[in-house]
Amino acid sequence: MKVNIRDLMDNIEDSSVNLEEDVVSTARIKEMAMKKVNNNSDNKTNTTKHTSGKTAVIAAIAVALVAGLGITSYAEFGGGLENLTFGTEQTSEAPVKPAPAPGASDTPDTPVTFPGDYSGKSNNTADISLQGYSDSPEYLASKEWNEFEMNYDTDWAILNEVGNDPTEWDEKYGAYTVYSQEMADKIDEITAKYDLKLHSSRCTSAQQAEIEEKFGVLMSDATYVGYYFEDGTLQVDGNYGDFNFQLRRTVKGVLDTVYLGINGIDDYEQWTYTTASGVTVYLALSEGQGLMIADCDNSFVVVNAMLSWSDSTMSKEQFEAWADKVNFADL
Amino acid sequence: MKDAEALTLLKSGNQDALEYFIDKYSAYVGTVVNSVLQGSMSREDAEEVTADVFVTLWRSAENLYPLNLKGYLSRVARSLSMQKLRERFEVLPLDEDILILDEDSVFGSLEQEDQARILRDLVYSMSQPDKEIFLRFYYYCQSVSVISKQMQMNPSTIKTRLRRGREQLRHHLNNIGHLKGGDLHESKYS
Repeated sequence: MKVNIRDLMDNIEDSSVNLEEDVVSTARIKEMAMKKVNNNSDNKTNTTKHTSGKTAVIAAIAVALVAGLGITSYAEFGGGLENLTFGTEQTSEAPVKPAPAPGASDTPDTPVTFPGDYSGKSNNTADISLQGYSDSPEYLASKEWNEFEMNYDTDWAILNEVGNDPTEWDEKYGAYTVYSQEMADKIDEITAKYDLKLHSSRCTSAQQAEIEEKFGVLMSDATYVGYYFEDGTLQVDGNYGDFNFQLRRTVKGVLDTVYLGINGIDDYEQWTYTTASGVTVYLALSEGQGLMIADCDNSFVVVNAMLSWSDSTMSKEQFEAWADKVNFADL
Repeated sequence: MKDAEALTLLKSGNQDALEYFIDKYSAYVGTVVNSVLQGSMSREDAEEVTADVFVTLWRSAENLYPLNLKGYLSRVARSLSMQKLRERFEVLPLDEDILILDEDSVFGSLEQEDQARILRDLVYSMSQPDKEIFLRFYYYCQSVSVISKQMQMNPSTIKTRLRRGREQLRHHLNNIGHLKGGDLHESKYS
């Protein structure tokens, strides 16, 4: 049977993607909307007066500081994000698009009639490893694979040849982007070089109850859903109060290639913090993003707090209180 | 004023509250509309679709909760834009829109609400940047070249990750089973 992915998306709601917003005429849109609303025969009672005694809705994050248990060090340190980056890029213009492969079915690049802002901005960005710090085999392996992948099949010729069909490499390499023997050989080379195992080819999607049954509570006062591999590497996406977050726990000794794009490192304030569970973590906070990084005995854990998607703000104290909610000790 | 407060006022028919939402979200809604329409219609038509999203908000306010208004607006914007496109043009699916599932997959027999829930869970459990790429392509209908510019990524990497996302989706949708007792509302993934 056939299903159309785009049609399946009709019934979901998303606000997680941070779109670059176009410039629109709010005044014209408002005029049109209000005219339609006022012309509607089923219109509600019109009123332009604000109701008095309106209820103030206060969105707040519960701050659960436990005196004497949280030890804070705000002194600068040289570790943290600097030891996680794969490299910092200065982005001053949009990347050059390589020639499309013959027969490519990409949607035509039609011009947008609204004045948009698709021009590149001049700012720093960085990609960080989620597997470990720069002296770890997990980091080095991930870096080597990602560099290989970025420069492989850049004209899409091999990928277009493969198309949408399953391949002979799916069974063993299904957790990685492998669609040719050359890519499979590269994976084998990297795992041998750094003495790492592969993820099982498929992961298990799970609701919060199943995840907690298997791994324990990952974060208190939060809701989340995600997936995990047989080796225990897991990722969840969820909500903590007003904020969206992602938590990735990568087991050591495994080749994992997921990375995270962040703003320039200089945008972040970084410090160490010992959580209520007794684990010392690195915290990094910028206006739009917070990161909690824990190098545990058996795994490497990163929490990506997507602050820019909320109207609420986050102070250092509140971020530390949030870190206290994460069960780093058992991850 | 925050969204929750404005929504309460909107439910009571307060037009200032509607203006609040237009001021706050018209750029976002307009972006989603433009993204789906991809320049196929005039600016005036696109603005009208954008305005219609807020009219829908006005009419549906009684049934809404403030938890994810932005998500609701994006869904309505997408839906109205797709509807407008289908009214004007014959919209043919691209090859990469179609997933071929096993004949014995139970996914197709599920209620639409269950299908949407499962799809949402699967897409949201994808790792980044695959999840964002997938949503930008299939939900916001952005082209690979637009995604490439906005995410500062190589177009070939984007295509690779889309393919991986489709593969994951196909595998999971093929493996949806029933708990003992056959309760469809407790479908789980094997």
